Amino acid sequence: MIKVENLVKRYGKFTAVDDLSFSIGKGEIFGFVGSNGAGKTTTMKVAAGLLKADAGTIFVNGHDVHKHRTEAKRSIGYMPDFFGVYDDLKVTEYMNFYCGVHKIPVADRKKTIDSLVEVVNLSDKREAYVDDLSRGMKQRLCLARSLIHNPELLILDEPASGLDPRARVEFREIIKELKDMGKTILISSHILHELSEVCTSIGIINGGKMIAIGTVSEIQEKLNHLSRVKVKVCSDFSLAASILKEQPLVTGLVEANGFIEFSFSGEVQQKADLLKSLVNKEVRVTHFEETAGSLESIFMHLTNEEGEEK
Amino acid sequence: MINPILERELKTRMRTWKTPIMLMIYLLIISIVVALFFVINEQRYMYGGGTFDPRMAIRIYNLIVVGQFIILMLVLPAFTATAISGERERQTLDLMLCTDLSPWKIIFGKISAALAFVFLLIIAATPFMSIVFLFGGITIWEVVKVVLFYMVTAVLVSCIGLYCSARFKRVVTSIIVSYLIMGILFVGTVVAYGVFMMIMSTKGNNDFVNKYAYEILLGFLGANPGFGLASFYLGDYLGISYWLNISTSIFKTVKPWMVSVTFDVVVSAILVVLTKFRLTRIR
Ligand SMILES: Nc1ncnc2c1ncn2[C@@H]1O[C@H](COP(=O)(O)OP(=O)(O)O)[C@@H](O)[C@H]1O
Ligand SMILES: [Mg+2]
Repeated sequence: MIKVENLVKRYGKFTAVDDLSFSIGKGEIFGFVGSNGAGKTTTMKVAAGLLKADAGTIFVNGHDVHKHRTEAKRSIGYMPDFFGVYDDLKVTEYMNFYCGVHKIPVADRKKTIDSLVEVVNLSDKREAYVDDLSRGMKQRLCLARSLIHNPELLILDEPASGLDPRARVEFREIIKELKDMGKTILISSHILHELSEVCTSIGIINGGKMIAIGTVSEIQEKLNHLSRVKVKVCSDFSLAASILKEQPLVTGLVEANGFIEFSFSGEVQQKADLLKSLVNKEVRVTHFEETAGSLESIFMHLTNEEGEEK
Repeated sequence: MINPILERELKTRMRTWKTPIMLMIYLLIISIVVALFFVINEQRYMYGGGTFDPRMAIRIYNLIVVGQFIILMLVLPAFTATAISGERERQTLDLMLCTDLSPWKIIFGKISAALAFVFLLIIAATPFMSIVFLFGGITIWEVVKVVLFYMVTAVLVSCIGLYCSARFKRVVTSIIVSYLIMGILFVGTVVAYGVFMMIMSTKGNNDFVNKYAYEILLGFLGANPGFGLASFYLGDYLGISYWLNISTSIFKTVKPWMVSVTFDVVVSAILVVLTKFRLTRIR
């Protein structure tokens, strides 16, 4: 459905997206995860035809989004990371305007609007001014707008950001509904677990590069393999740090609040050996703990780590 | 199917309080001007002791036409200078650009919304115009001519605002530059004409200036919509030649409003194309 090939996008000298490739099959939901500034929005904007790639191509439904922009646009429903609403319009008028933009015949508009408003649970807000809607409702209205021309591919840029937990759940339900309708969805977030429930596959982007890609369970596996270890030593701080840094399985070492923290991608036994080697080198360890890294903190680490290596 | 942008603009503009309030202020200004005119002339008649002079109706008509024109020229740039940059600031521009909506439609929608507004102002002032018809002296054809001239000028001004709004990211910049361009058109051309004539006379090129007086005038002021409008009253070449004290010109069949309208059409077309280019340019 969408195929991104070696995408490069620069802003001046700064490379925001660096040789990014991935593809999403029909009916899949692809979670595009990365911390702020990772390059998610940039990638999505290129896909939506709003930015020009410096290199690489994006095919949507077989159409190159740059060369055959008009055809590609017809298959894409884009929901940006901002609302973009006219607050002097009512919900139905807002939808009616975009029906006009999408050249929906006047006779079909009421039906289209009714069904979409229904999908995003805004039926009882039809006559409300857009300005008076809550953030979550505006978000859903924007989603409804991106569905007007019945696109096969939805590009949703951080649709759940800034929503309260209830609104998030609600949004997630709508995404599932869209999935059942057979839409292909590219959805981004800077929070991994938010997507793991709804997505069929996930790509993790950092510094414009895809650092991990796979099905949800594959990614989980990869992440579970990593654990975060916290060590406290008395007085031999720098010695301990230098020993740890030499270990091949240790990555992302930071020193904070008198603790040394690092990620360890080995088995339990290897972890025990690690402690042993510290003790053998006469480091006086007072604390050695594996922190219960939530998926997110691990993810945070994962993205930070790869970023540093560049 | 009506242009969706025009439809939205009309709907939202007609719904707010801003439009009727502006309309009221506009009509108030015109009525004050007309009333003042009557008061001043009334005093003259007290001494003259004559009956109502039909020429006065013509003068009122001229006053309304010029007043309307000035108001339009002052209001219109602000109207279109926010057209694209406003959408951009509201972040709704990208939402249109990522659809298969033609950029020509965006441009057409915005310009026609501005023209509809101009038309509203003209229609709103018809009661005043009807006073003039009451007294006679002005034919409907003359009114139609002036209204058409208004519309063509309005197209140019709309295009200037629209281009600025597409060219500049910020609404404020767009408005300022639009008014600057208006200033150049209305005042800059006159100043340039004056400076040119001064330089020529100090250099002693009086023969040249006298021979080509009309051409020079057209060359400098042809772009000035105010001059185009004024020529309706100056009586085109005849009036101007009398005023400039020139005897003949091969261009005497070319009337100032023709130059003005040609300029408007050509420059508007160029600006529309540039605006389209700005809209579709992706980086
Ligand atoms: N218009 C722009 N000009 C310059 N740099 C930009 C622009 N837009 C984004 N960037 C930079 O590109 C990087 C990627 O941004 P973005 O794609 O918005 O990331 P994300 O959506 O993942 O948070 C960021 O470092 C950001 O500062
Ligand atoms: Mg973003």
